[in-house]
Amino acid sequence: MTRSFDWTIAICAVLLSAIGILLIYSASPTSVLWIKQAIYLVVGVLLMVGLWKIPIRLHYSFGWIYFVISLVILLAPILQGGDVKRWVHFGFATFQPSELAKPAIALVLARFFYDHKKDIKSIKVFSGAILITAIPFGLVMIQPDLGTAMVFIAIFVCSIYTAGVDELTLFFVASPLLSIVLSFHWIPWAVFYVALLLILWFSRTRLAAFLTISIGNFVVGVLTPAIWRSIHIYQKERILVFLDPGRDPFGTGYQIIQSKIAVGSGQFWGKGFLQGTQTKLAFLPAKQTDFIFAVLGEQFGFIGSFITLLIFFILFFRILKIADEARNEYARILATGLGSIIFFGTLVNIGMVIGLMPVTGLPLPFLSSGGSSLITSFCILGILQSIHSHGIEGP
Amino acid sequence: MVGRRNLDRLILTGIIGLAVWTIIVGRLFAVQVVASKEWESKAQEQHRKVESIKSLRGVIYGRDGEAMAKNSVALDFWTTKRSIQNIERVDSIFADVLGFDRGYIKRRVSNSKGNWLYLARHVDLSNGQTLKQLEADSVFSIPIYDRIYPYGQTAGQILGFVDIDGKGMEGIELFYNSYLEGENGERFVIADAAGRPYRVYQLGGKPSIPGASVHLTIDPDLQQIVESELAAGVESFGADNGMAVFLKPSTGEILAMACYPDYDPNNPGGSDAYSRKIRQITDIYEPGSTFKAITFSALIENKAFSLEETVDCEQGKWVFYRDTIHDAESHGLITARQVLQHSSNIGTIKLAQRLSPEILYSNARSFGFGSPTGVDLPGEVVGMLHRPELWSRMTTAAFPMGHEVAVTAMQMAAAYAAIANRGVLMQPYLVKSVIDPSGRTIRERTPTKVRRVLDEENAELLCTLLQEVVDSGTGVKAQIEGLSVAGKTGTSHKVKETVRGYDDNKYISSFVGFAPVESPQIVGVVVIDNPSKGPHWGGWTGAPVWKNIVNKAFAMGIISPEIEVKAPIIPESNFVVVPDVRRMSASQAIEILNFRGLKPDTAGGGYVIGQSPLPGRMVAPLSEVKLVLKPAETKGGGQVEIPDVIGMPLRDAILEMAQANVKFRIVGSGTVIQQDPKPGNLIDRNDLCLLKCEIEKSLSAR
Repeated sequence: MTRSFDWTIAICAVLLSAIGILLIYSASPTSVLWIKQAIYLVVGVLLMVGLWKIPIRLHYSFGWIYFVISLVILLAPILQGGDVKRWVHFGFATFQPSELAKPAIALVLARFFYDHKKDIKSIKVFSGAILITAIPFGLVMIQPDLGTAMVFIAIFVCSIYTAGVDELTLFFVASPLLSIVLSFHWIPWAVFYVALLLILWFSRTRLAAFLTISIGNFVVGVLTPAIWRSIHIYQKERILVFLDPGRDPFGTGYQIIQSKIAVGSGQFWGKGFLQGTQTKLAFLPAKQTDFIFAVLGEQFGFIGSFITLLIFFILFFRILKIADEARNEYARILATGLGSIIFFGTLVNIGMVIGLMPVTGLPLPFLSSGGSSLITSFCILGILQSIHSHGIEGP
Repeated sequence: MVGRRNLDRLILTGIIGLAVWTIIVGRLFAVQVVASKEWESKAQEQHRKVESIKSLRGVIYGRDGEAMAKNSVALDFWTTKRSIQNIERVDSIFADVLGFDRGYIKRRVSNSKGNWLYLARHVDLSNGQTLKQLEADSVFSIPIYDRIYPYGQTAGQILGFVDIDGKGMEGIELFYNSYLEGENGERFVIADAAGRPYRVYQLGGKPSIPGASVHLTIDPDLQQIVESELAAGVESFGADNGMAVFLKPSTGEILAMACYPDYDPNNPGGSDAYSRKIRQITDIYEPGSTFKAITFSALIENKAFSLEETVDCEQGKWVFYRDTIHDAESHGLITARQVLQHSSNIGTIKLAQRLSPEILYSNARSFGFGSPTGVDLPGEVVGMLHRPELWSRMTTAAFPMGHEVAVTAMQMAAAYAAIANRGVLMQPYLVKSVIDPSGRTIRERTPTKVRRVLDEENAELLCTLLQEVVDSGTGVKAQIEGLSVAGKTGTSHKVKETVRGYDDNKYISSFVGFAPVESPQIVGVVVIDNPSKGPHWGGWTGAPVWKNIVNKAFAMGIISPEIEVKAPIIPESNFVVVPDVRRMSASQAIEILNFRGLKPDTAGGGYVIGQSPLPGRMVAPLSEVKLVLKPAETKGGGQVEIPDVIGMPLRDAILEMAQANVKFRIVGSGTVIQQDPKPGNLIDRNDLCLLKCEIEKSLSAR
């Protein structure tokens, strides 16, 4: 063991959690939520320390077992039924399986890529990785939980990119998706398609791949507008609301407006601790959970938000550093995959609060009230600590 | 080992991460620093609610300084649909305290379209104290004022009443509303998303300004006498209704005016629209023989006869043109003064034939017939006085005896006041002064001379003739011991309501008179509509009622026969009361303003939706009145959209409908409760939209 505990990420995480507890208290001083959160924090810190001591080769061995367990618990809420399928009910508590599934996917993908690092660019490996991600992806889409599904894609992309698949391949794989997005007007799609053909030509792609990609994109680009025109308005609306729930003015549209009002009215210096009118007067929805950042923005203004973002930035920087310093391929892929969970969760949540992203219901790591998210985040940090300490030994 | 290429990848990841982080910080900067003022004002818009602080309405005082309309504190209770708690408990407590049906509050809350709603209005303080304990369940109270009319029915029509929001609806309350209402204050309250007030925001807001008090010329004692005598008369003659106006002839001050049946303004909902009307100015009748005094004034003024010349009254039956004229009493050759004394139609017509229609017309016009008296009450009509071009041959006979002309009781009282006042017509008025809460007199009314209508000697002569009517003619029942009385009786057939022509069995009987003749202190009209018991003549019905009133007034010292020093009379009117021309067409409004001696300031056509100064304001003659016009819209296809006026007070609804160019008919009065066809529908511009109205009383828990 050459390196020890990384105090920077631990302090950043505890600081963020403390801010979270403060905000949860200010959002509803009379409830016990903030005390619960403090207990979760203690549990989280203990788990982080515990995981730090566990060598990562153990995680390598358990990779597939984590994956199977996560699939089982992802199925549980669907089998349990009920309107909201995001929770598993145990006798004593409820738990969000999607939180646990995130690190499990990072762990299994890291192992998978490490196991196949020799032929990482083969179609077989690529398809296998897609399949591994697609199963949990499908399960959370059923719930439906678009936010978590996007996090899975983020984990996949970050892991495979770190594993060594080159940018061009990623671009080609993603190209049909871009075709869908751009096909709503023929000019950008045509420009994109010509660019795609040129890239294919100059990258000397094999003929089979060339044909598959060019024809596939052409079909998608032509069919999407045709299908879009032929479906009913209410179906279109349903798809649009799924992609951007802010379109529904009485549902999440209201939340977006309220969230922006709270953040914006905080102005530069904020209204002060416990002085947030929008928070206190119940204008802000889901104030302890999804919109906790708005509670921050209202009371502590731009300056408070900026400082919090700075702590997040330091945290990411340290995680990247850990990935960078991992001298083992498995550890590096795992570190990037795990880091992408926290990074992407933060990005999507804050983006939602300030109106850059659709409302997806992802919690803000470390700050949002709720044990599943907080404890999972600390577990992720625990594994990263372990990489930091033991990474050199290899699986 | 980490290859060079893999390190590049991590750096690229880091750069992308930094870029995303920068975008988020940039966006936060845009929202929290650049556009923060906008979001802050949106936040304030959400949580800062304006609460109105009700102004104290001005008191209406009678001539003697006694309050005739005042206020007492009461409470309105409200809640918001989203904040109300324990609705079962709230419902049952309201039911217990205010006697509501069980479930009423629950229904009210669940039926409410908006979040904010009243639960009960005008709750008195003792009940209010009990209900105030419901604040924990999010039931809140606002102090408001109940309008109280201590005299009850007395002067009900003149005073008018206020709606549930304390806005003047009729009478003085309406006409002088702009003075009486004061200005509501405002305060800001921080409220949560459910509408529950959280605390009062200290900054901003403004205090309420109490309204000015209005001092009437009405003598409540005399008013009570007039009302009780009129009621007694109407009942004992088996008449449909009756009305009376009593003025001070030298000034035009209205001392009392009564309509029977009447109503109690404390409970306007319990009355019908008819008994709330100020019929002395809104209803017209054919005056009959009381108009002969006007005819005789023209004869005297034009020296068309001598008093002692004899006139053949044809034994009470005379064919004129195509019609047979009858007299009530048959006379042969009598003197001209006896013609008036005995109210001979034949004699009057014969004498009046010496005057041209133009002279008769302009004389009547000069007395104020055919134009509004300008009294400071809402709803005055001009009556009916046809121009000579429109006269038929029969009109020259009918007009001198008070037919084919229709007047208001107010016009008649003012005309006789001009005779009593030795030829000077004064404008009748009700409000002596308006005094603001600090005691400053805002408006002081001085008697206003309209014009001289008769030479003083001629008026003196006419007074003598009218005294003879009471002393030994048709008006003997108006004689009062120890007091000289002059007057004239009148009886006319009622005009049929549905078809043209007169109703042979229905009469309007009246008496107009003044006393004492030498220095008249009081002039009064008593009109009895359709007396069915006993003789229907004015001399038998109007005269005794008039006598009882004046007799009591003098006996009780309300009016003293002593000659008093005359108040200075301003030769020209020193100010004009601004009439209400809102909702009228532009041309109509301009005509009315011109008539009142005001200059309309307007451009374009359409409907008047606002005016400045407001109605009831007193301004110098020839002042400008600014009119805000809304052009009558013309949509294609001849169809117009019906606006939603449900829940609006009728006056606002009328304005709204007029603006939308929708023709309408009103059923009931008060607040609009139903529209047919429903709002939002298109309607042909020639079709009617029915507005069903109701005085809102369900909410009132008085």
